[in-house]
Amino acid sequence: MAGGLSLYAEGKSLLHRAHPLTKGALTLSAIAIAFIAPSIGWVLGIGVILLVLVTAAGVLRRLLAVAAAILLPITLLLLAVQGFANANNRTVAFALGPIVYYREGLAIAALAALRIACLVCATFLFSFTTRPADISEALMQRGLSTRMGYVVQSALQIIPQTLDMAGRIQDAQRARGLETEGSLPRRARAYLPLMLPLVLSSLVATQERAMALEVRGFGLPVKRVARFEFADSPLQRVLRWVLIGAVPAAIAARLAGWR
Amino acid sequence: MRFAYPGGVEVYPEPGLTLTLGSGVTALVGENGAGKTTLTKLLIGLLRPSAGSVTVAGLEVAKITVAAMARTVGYSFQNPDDQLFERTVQAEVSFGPRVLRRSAEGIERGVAWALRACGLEGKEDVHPHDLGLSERKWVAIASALAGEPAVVVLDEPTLGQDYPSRERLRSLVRELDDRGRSVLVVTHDMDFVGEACPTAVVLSHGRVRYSGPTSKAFADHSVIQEAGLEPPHVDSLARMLGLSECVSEADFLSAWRR
Repeated sequence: MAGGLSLYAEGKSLLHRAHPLTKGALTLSAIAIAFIAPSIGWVLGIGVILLVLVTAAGVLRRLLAVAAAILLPITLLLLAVQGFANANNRTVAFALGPIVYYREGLAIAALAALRIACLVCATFLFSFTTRPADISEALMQRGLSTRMGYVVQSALQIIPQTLDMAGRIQDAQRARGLETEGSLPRRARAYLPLMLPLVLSSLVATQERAMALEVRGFGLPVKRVARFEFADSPLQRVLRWVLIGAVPAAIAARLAGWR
Repeated sequence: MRFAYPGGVEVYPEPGLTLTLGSGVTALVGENGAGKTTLTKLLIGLLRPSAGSVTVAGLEVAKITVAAMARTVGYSFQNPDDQLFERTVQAEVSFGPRVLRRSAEGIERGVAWALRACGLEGKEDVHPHDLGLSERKWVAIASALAGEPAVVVLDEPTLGQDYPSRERLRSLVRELDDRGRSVLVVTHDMDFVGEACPTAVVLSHGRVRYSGPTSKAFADHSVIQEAGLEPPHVDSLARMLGLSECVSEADFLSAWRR
């Protein structure tokens, strides 16, 4: 579903073949622990593990392209703001005339930037190796109601679909003489006539999709069988529990004085 | 002119497309994926050529905005649902002339004519989405005509239309021709092409395979087959009866009398 609109990249790696819930557990627990872990060393460790997985999945080049675009500006901003202006700044790292850069700020910025890098890495690792439709399918096979599964699926697709629809409506309006190119105010003005038809078309599309689902038996009160079962294994099941269990364990460790 | 979609597939292969469309009514035909709709979008600037240029009525399309092109080119999309966005048929049809800042009198005249020519009189206050597909198609066509453009592009106007609708389309195209407009019709309906379009361009795999009078367009069967076309039914009938080539009922009758 919506193959062209998702980030999914075809592949045969271990991660591509892993159960969607295993990948989901890995992503969520990596992000959580990266933010719970107290020091740069630990966060760096998680980052390295994620990078190894990204490389194994064969999506390193794609990740570097998107991650650089997101992380570079954030990291630079963090380094500047924290290094120059953090309230805990004491130790001078270097000074350029009256402008002083501090070690404490640098350390705080580096930790925050690394955590965000882990978040970005884990999220894209999941997105690149998992089809959007597989997420809701896997959840439904684990007992999530089909209605909720549909909600999850719709939520994942709503942005690309809406952008697509907005593009088509704007093409139609331009072809009929509405100026959408040129100066910023002119382009901003062109968004107003787009809004109402966009909302309206979305509602019409929703109604038609509901009917299409209904005639294909979506609302039938029957037990469903899955079109295919995701390959799972005892190892993956154990791994999922370990990954999920690691999060409360990390929180407990922090509370017990993990520094 | 060359064009490639993102992803790099060239629509018009080496050395690119060179085509001159005259005035009058021209049919643009060819198999699915031949590059017909791409060509019509290039004519109004919704797509821009990657090399070469497109000139419509003396305007170089790449140099002006799509909205400015709309003064000259009325464009009816293949799928009316890609095009309709207003709350009433009246508002939809008058959208073009309104945003083009036509005079009140010009808007009234253009809209009234478009509604009449498209059989939408009495449906002015209906929501376009409450109409059937065929009527939505007519609203889309009327919207393209209401600004009284010099060039009219109709992408698949015959799709899903019944016989009376096709007859109306035929008389509409003739009326546009009488008013001195240039009309380009993209269609798979060869009976319609034979009856309503004196000139035809056959596009196949991004290349022009034929450009000239419709009466000669069906002569070379290899071109017709390659372009996934079926000659007009009167032509098949004339061949069966051993008559000369015919593309319209009038041709057939005169050949039969001879």
